Amino acid sequence: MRVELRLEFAKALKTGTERSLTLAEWHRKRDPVQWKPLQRIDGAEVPALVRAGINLQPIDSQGEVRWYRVEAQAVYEVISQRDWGQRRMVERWHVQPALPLGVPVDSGVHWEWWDFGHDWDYWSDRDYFISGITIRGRLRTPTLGKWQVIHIPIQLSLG
Amino acid sequence: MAKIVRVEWLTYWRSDTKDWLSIGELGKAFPLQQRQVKTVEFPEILPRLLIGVIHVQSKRLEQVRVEVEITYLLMHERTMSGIARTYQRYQAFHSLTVKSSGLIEIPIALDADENYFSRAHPDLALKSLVLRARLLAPSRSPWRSAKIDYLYTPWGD
Repeated sequence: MRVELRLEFAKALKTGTERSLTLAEWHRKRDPVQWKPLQRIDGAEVPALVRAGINLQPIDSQGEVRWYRVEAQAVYEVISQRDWGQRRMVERWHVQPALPLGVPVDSGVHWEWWDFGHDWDYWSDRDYFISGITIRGRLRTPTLGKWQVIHIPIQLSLG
Repeated sequence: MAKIVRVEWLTYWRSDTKDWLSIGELGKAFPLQQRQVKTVEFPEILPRLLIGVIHVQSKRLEQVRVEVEITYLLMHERTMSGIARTYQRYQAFHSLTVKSSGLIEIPIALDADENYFSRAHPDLALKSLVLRARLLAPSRSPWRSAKIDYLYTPWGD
């Protein structure tokens, strides 16, 4: 069986608004939440609660039952405000879930969500800007696949 | 200094119908209620969705790195004893910026896993799910774990 890997990355908004939902709000009130694909970030609109989705879909007949191992990473780049040439890459999230496939009703889906809010605080306190986020994923077994990449640019607003 | 204060399994149900949620329903627009799951009878009330949760605390804003694993333990259906096979379902490294408290949540949908095991290993049955986590930075900590043991009774008690 051949499979296709689909990678998704989204931010959480309070339903019916453009207001970003924080992890604390998500837990405290369990507000209705709308997941919106994250394509770019304006400096003033820092998303807090984000979600990554790893989705394996069969693309030909399902004659066998297998467990597929997938690898995914979220990495962001920070630039020093004091020296614009100084860049650091920060690995935020690195997972290897095993996703089962092989019965017609099954699809291999794995979700994770996390809070980016404190990352911005942490780097801002140290005079760094976060200048881009990259999410990438690939199949690891039974065959090593190519990386699928989502890059999210961050539009910095310097006032 | 940052530390892992709790590792646990949670599940969610619909407040209106008391049905367990599926992974596709998580985050949809209805109120959710949270219940801690320590022991679940199998198969009558097996939740469709389990969420492994790691609670991290730090008194000051700090970057921590956490390693997380989820492992399935399977036993022989014939003897109903001992662990015949283990499957590592998930391994992750989370870099977390923690201010007072931080959470790592890992939703696991069991439907597809059960189908996989019933086809690939018809003689084995899911006995336990083990979630464990440890700090790798700023300093390494011992593993902390949470385990769900299914009370598997083939005669249906």
